Amino acid sequence: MGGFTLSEQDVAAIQAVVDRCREVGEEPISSAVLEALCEVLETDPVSVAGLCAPAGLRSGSASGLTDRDRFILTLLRPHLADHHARWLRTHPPTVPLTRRQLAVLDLVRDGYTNDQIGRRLNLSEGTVRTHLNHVYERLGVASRTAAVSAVYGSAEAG
Amino acid sequence: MVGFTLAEQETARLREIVDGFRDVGEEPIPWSVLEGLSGLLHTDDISLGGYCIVPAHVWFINGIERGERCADTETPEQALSNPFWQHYWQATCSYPDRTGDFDSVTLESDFLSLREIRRLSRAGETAPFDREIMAPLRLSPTHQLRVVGWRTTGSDFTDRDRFYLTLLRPHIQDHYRRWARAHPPSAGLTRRQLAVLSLVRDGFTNHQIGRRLDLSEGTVRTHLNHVYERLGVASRTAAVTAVYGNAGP
Repeated sequence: MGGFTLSEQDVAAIQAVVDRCREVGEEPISSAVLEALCEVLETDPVSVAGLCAPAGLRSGSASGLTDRDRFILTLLRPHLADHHARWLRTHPPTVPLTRRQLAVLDLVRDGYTNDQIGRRLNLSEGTVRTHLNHVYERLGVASRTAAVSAVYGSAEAG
Repeated sequence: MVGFTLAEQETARLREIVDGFRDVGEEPIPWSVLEGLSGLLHTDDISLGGYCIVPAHVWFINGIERGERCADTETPEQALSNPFWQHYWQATCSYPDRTGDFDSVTLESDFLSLREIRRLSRAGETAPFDREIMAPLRLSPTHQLRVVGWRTTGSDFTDRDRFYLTLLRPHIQDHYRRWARAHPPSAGLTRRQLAVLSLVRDGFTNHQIGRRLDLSEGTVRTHLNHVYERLGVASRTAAVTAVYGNAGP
């Protein structure tokens, strides 16, 4: 196991990735992080971006990765995941739901029953149920809990 | 430039530790990982603890003391007579809380000279060690994990040691969250907490739950905050899912 050493330059490059992961940029994985990863892997930005996309880190997907590279990526993976989670918190996901559907789902998340939601939004319980059925359909889920996780889950998991 | 390199032996040790996080077992941090950390950082004593600031207590602590595994827990009542908490806000221990800096891995020597450390330790205000390294992991505003390593005497921890803990910190946190999810109901929650959570599952509001259980809404909220912390989650829905699984088909 192991079988490799890390030079001063390697250590500095890894430290740079970790440091830059703490700052949220414009993109899900900031360009500063991507640049630092290029340094670590001694490769070009395009393949590094491919590695990180879309969210987590796909360790083995780039060609030409050595055992050493894979190990460094394994070490850095949760740092990148945290980086991405921080970005998500400041850039909530846009989901294909109408404002009304979101308003209903918002109350579902808060733990209200359909009846209570109906009273709050001035709708009948049946209408609430219909709204929710449309929500399930659009999100491709089968329950209210799953719908809440699908819309709010990833942002709160961090 | 950081000014140090890692030899083969060190990368191999690091890899062993990272591999040790894969499986979630009985403990919030695998014993093999703690032992690996103890070797990597050359500590006489090392621990991962869950520190709750309000009400002050250490809800679990697992350590390797001179090669021996030890685990303990503390209730808020017991914490009242623990000198650690009596000195907490004056001591360097509270640095992350006072500054909001949960990113830095700190050494006791960042704040105090060895002479001061020894004086405080003779006065019983700090643990009887010359050298200390600490990495905080924030779970919520009131709850955090901490890795603390000690050397009785001898050379101080270095930037290399800081680097190790900085790299490993999110691995420790991820493993803890997975562990917390895998050990929900009776393992972690009190009967009262479960009673509250089952009403959350049924869709009641905090206010309604309070009326049913004869508690104030604030108490219900406090119960739920403790539930979130124990489960390592951030919302009521996530807590329900963690304990009862997905209600869907």
